[in-house]
Amino acid sequence: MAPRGTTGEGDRMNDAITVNAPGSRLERPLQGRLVTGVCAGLARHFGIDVTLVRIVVVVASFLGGAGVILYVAATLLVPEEGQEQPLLRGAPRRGRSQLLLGAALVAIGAANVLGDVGLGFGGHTLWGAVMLAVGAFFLMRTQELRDGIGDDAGARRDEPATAAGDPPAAAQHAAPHDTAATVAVEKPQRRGARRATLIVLGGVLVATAAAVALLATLADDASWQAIAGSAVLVAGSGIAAGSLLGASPWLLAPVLLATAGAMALQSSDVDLGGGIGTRAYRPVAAADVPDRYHLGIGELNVDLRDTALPRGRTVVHAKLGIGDLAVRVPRGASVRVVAHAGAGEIRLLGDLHDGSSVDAAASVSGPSTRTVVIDADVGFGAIDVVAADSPLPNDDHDWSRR
Amino acid sequence: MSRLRPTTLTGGLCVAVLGLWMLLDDAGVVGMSLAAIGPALLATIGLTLLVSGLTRRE
Repeated sequence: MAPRGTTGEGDRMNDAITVNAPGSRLERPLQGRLVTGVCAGLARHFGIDVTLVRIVVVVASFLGGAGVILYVAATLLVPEEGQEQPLLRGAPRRGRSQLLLGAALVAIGAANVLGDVGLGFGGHTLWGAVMLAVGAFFLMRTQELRDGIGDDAGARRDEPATAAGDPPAAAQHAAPHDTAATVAVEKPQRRGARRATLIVLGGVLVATAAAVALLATLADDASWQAIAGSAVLVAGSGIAAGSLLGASPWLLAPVLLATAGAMALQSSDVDLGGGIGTRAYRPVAAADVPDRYHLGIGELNVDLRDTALPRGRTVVHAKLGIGDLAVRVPRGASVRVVAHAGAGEIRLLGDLHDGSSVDAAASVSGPSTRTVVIDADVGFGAIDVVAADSPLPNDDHDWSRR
Repeated sequence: MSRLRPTTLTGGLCVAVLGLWMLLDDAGVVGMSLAAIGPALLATIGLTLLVSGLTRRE
């Protein structure tokens, strides 16, 4: 049966050109589309100009990525011209959850790209959305498993457990007289445990995402430590609750790994604000020195050798979350350095200190009346403070002046 | 559905306690040093394995 609203090839062409045929079935036309035909389909359905619809979608895309997300959703839910079913329903059931996960990740990725230029979302919201998508995926896979879709064992589940030729591994270890009974009981149990594990995994991810989103929304000034702690608490509680359903203890492995990383970062007071990458500064005047040099992860180099310092004391703060921080002291000035590393090593003018929670200080007197105090702090990594005529550890950068 | 898995229950509760510790550390109620994290994680893994061994069926 031809779908309602479909026409012959010639009429299709006319539709694509004239666009307006209000009231027709909402579908994605094959002709006149730019990407997947969502805009052209909407324009045809509502009898408006397709350009207007495209402008609305583009504008909506710059509102937190809403346009992109809606466009992807419409691609999945609105059938293509000539098709009875939308893409989502028309896809083989086995691949439906994968299709949705892929679409969700594409939408999230696109929204995040827009976020990079301040037009979409990022940060906590991004990770919450990713966890939500992956959680939904596992929940859908659970449903598919229950329906016997995509389960390799499904095709054979009703076969006698003692089928000749390839006895299951469990049967090989069982006594000959009870092989059939053992396998018949264990297979459904194993399937049930797998299903429970997927349910709990999906549920934990969704609950954790919700907790992170809630905290980030309700408390604007919530630290990443508070958000990470809440996520770990919710995930652990979810897994404990999932034990009632028979979820596998292997769920703990990724959660414990992530928890260990978060705890290590938290215990060393790592400040991940300030971005990621390489920053190199070579200030010329004291006015060019900011209140604080700050980087989250990467290399931070501050070259003060040519900085014209005022008389008296000048304090330079440099803070790095994870990575290498290098500072070259000014020529001729007296220098006092105070350095702290959560874990790693500190090399102050030739002296090496390493280990966890390392504090070090050094002083050098210079001929001028100018004094610079360098306050250097690294969560994980290394601090190098070198003399004005010594090379920096990473001296191959194209120094930007500030 | 399968029945209760004590191993998962133990591990989940331990992880929840670690999360609580992180929150309390952030609130300044208790401290969390790098030296204490290793034993805490090992205790979590050890307790989980212990329960796993004790509840394993022949």
